Amino acid sequence: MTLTTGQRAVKGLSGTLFAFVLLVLYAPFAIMLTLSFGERATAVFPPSEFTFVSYEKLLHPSDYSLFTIAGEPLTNYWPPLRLSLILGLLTALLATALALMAALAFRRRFRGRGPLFYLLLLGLLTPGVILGLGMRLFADQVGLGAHWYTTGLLLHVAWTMPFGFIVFLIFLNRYDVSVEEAAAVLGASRWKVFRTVTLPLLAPGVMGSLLFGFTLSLDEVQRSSFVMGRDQTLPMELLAVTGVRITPVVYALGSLIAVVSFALLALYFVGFERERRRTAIAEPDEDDDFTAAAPLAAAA
Amino acid sequence: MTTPSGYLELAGVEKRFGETAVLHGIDLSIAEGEFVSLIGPSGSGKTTTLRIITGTDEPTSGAVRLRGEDITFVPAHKRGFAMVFQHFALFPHKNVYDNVAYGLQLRGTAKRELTERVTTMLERVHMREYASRRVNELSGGQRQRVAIARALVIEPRLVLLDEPTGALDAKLRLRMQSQLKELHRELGLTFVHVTHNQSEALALADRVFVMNDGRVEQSGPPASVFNAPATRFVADFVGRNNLIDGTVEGGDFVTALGTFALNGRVARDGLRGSCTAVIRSDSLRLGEPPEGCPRLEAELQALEYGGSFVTWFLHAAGTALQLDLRAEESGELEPAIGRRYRVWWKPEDAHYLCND
Ligand SMILES: Nc1ncnc2c1ncn2[C@@H]1O[C@H](COP(=O)(O)OP(=O)(O)O)[C@@H](O)[C@H]1O
Ligand SMILES: [Mg+2]
Repeated sequence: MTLTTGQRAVKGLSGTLFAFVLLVLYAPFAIMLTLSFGERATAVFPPSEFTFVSYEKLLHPSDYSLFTIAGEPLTNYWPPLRLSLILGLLTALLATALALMAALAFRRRFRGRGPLFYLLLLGLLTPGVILGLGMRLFADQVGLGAHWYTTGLLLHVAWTMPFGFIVFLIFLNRYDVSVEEAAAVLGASRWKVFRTVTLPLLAPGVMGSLLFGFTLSLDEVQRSSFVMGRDQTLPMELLAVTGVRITPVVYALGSLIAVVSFALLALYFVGFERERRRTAIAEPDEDDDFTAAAPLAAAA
Repeated sequence: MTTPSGYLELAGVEKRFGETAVLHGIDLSIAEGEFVSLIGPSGSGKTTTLRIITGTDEPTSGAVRLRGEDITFVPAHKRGFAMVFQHFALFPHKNVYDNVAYGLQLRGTAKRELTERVTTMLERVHMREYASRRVNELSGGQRQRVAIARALVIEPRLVLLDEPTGALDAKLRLRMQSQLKELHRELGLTFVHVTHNQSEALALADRVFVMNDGRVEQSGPPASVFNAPATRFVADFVGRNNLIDGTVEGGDFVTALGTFALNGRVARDGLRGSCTAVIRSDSLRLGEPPEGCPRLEAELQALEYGGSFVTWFLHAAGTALQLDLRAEESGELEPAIGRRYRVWWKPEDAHYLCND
């Protein structure tokens, strides 16, 4: 295939643009990773030395002798990290369960379906500050104490659920309901149909929704800052610390989180691809071996 | 109303979706072991009727009975029926074996018996060597056979098939029809089959129900329905019929194509008012008619070559006619599009439908 000059120009341009986007997306991570092996407080790039001391500080937050930088915050990141992970997991599970139920309900027609649909998605568009503040006011009104497991969890679920909902809508869009009817006619109760047909077929959607719930929750600061009470999640803690002083420990933590996230994503995509290939109904090819098959009488 | 033949009965089944009425009172009675076909154009309510029989939908009014017992509101999974869906609706996340085993697993069939029954059924439909294939690796015909095996292996009280050959090409369709017929005979199950293909109904069914716009227009053995259509719709839909509309005036049939003598038939067949003459396309002839045969002039518009015979499509005074000729007979006439030909038929080959 030969290209015209114009086509070649467009191709070159789009290639460059793509490279630029990748650079913008991943260069910060590369820089952060590099800096996490530096020792000094001020970020100089490229770092002049290579050390794991920042990672050691992360591992042993109470070993004060490691913290040699003047004015360095003596922060223990483990409790906020643990809280963030627990909150993320709970959020992912609850939001996914709710999103799945909502999406399945939206397959049917019912009164108020349209308005409810937009109401569900409104959470995506509402500015975070307003949502957080609103939740806090609401909690105060009903006398609900602000903790991670009360208002915090509630808000994280409310915030991430619409993402899962959209994920399920996308999957249900290509979903053939007659498969469920086939199961029902063959003798499956509604619960059996859900367990043996609906859920397995929506497995990639479930994974996607869990991932959304978990990562969005893990990352959430804006809304959380109003509703966590005295509980500190990791991003809240980081924001507080970096307000004081940024040291390579933060880069080390960031790099660890990024690496774990990439690994999770890679796992998801591998799983997703396998699942997709497993469940996709391809168009049948028309050549058929039927003519070659023995007459029925012979087999019976 | 319980007739002795009534294994499955639909009595006055009506269905509305919101404001639109889709079924206007369906009455069916099917005997045990019978193979019946519901036949009708797309949108006539065949699938809706099947869904009401399986329990995946409920009628707005009317009743469904099995052996005289009212099952109208018994949920689908408690009816013990099985259905072959138009697009097969196989479980894409299960392989061939697990698709077929599904119904038996739900029934808690012991492992040994389950394996045996699934394997036997897969052999019956020539799919044993594909047992561990994923269904998305199968051709259309193979999927079809898995869908049939999945339905029949549970030995259902009733087998429903919604256009089971609709997604297959012509050659495969014929094969599949003979296999279905064979399975019906061997297993002795009751089959309710839906199609919009009349030759399929003719080949398979003990009895056909012709549906139109949510009603059963005519039912009976296929040959009697095809040879003696009771309404204009049935005459138009089944068989290859020419329909000539007109009115009976005195002893004549007056149409836009001319006036034809009815001789003694007016009194004998009780013809009156506006009627339709139904003439099969192989009963129309070309050339010089014998004395006393109705005739008309029509312009040849198109030819369709169907192997051993050729169909002539003619037009006369706003009426479309079709005429089947043996290929060599047609060839000898050296047909020319646009030419006018004399068309005639024997009076006894015309069948009159009158709405009084
Ligand atoms: N769920 C539904 N809601 C509204 N109309 C429907 C629904 N299902 C079927 N119909 C209408 O009912 C009529 C009969 O449909 P169907 O039973 O599928 O016909 P057939 O199977 O004979 O082609 C059609 O006009 C169709 O549009
Ligand atoms: Mg249909």
